[in-house]
Amino acid sequence: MIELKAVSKIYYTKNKAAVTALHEVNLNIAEGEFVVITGRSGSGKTTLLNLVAGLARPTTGQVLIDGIEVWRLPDDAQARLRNQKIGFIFQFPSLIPSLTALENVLLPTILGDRQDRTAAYRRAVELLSEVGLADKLDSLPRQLSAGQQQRVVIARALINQPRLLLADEPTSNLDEQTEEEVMSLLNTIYHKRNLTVLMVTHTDDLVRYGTRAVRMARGAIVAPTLAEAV
Amino acid sequence: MNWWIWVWHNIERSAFRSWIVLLSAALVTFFAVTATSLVGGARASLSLARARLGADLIVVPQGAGRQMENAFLMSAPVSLWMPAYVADETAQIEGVAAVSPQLFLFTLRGATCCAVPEMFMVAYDPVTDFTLRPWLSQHLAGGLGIGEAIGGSYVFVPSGAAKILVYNYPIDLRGNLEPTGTGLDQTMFFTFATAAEISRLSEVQAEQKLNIPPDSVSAVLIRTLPGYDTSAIARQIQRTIPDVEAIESINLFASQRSRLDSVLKASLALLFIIAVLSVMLMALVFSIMINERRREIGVLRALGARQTTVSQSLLTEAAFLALVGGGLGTGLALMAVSLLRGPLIAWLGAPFLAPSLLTVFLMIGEGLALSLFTVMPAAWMPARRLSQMEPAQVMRA
Repeated sequence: MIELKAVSKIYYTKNKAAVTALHEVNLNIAEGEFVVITGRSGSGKTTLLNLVAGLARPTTGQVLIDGIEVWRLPDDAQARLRNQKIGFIFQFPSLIPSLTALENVLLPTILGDRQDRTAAYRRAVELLSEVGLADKLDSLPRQLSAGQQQRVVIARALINQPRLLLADEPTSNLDEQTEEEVMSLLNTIYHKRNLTVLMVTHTDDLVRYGTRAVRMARGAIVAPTLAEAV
Repeated sequence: MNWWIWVWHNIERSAFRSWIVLLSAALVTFFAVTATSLVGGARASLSLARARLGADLIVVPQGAGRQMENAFLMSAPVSLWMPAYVADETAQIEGVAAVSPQLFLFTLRGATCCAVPEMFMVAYDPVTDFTLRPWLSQHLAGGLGIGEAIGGSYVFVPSGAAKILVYNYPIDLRGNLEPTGTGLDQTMFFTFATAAEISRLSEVQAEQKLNIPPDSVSAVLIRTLPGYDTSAIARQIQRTIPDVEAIESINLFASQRSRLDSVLKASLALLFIIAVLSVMLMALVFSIMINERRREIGVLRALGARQTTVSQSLLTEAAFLALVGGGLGTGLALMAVSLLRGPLIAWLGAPFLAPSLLTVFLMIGEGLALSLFTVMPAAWMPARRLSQMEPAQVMRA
């Protein structure tokens, strides 16, 4: 489903110094896999995720989703791809503070192609119920705990029924117990919806949720893939 | 949840900065609309006054040109007299098509015999007149008789009375002329015969006699033949007839027009400075707003928003603030011009005509367009910069 072919990403600082975030990365992810990418801070994990999502352009190499090179698409098509085929769970608090939980979940439905509002509303309510927040539809983000906010983010990522879920350190701001709850939820959703999941984390312990683990360091994949997790 | 709710949310949560943008737009619009309505209204008044006189040349006593203008523009009392033969002599000059003398009179100030204080009155010769004839032929086919008058738009019969008392002489007001915004709106017009009658009876009826020097006129209005050089005719008049000055109508109110031009230039310069400073302030505000929302904008891109969607959202917010600010500024300008008309006329040194309904709509359009023109570039610059960045870069706040 996802192919990265000799992908490199170089950033330039204000002093015009080059920083290589990714160096000649090759990675194939098949449909239905739950791949966990681990590594220290600065290893290139988030950069890799951004390239797959089309949020950053590779300096060299190709990123293909279902055989289509993402960055060859015009902006409209890229936006449509992110809106309809990809769900994104961010590392940082990403809910819009002035919108309720329900409105945040509905946000992708107004950003993309026109949708049936009633059907979208129904899906949003069902998703919030699925993540255990049926009684928090009208709550603002500041009225939710960190774990609850992340559940809303998960629901938002699923509103347009994507096939690919990208999660960038989804539990980095959570305590151990909440982390367990959120990961358990993610795992349930993965199995229930037959998604392909690509998750980035610096917590090695979370590789047990995946079907495959990939380790990165200094912008490259450093370890061969491990045996499938239980 | 829909697009417009989303836009309104963004405006609401940056309330203070939204107000800065709105008030900046209002300030620019207020200044622009006030200046254009004052200067435009004053110019329109002067043009209408000139057209009302209907003459190509006006002959008045030497040095009395400015006084005559003040009488017409501001209803300022004047005493202008020259020999009546000036009319006959000007009629002899080649290129002159028609001449018509007029008397400039004033009611008494604070006198009980006069229903209105210090009104400008013009007596005309109905035989030779060409100024009022067009209006009279349309509205009063029979013309004015003795004891009858027509008035400018602000002349009216006092309530409870049937006629206007002037030097204790009752005048029957037969109609009102269209407004000009000048002193002509407070002017009454009647025939030489009525003037003579008022003067004769004022000796016994009024607190003070209305003095009309015998064989004298205040001004001679001249219409020239087509194809003749009006300036040359004016020079000829001044060469031929002693102690008079001939003023071309295109030069009428020249000092007022010159002052208006100066006011307009100064206003435009000031408006330019205000607009530039406002655009800079608004650009700074929008930059701050957009910078604060960088991460959020990056999230929106990740969720499927197009580059154009993000720009459109920002520009829609800007347009909303521009239209509200522009509306506010325009409304305040129109109110200020309406409420402060008197002091503004005194400051401007020229009267101005209140704008018609059509002009008001045009001014509202002008205000809104100007507001959009200043606000939109201020928002467009940072929005464009952001939309050209990669979403991952945008999110790196």
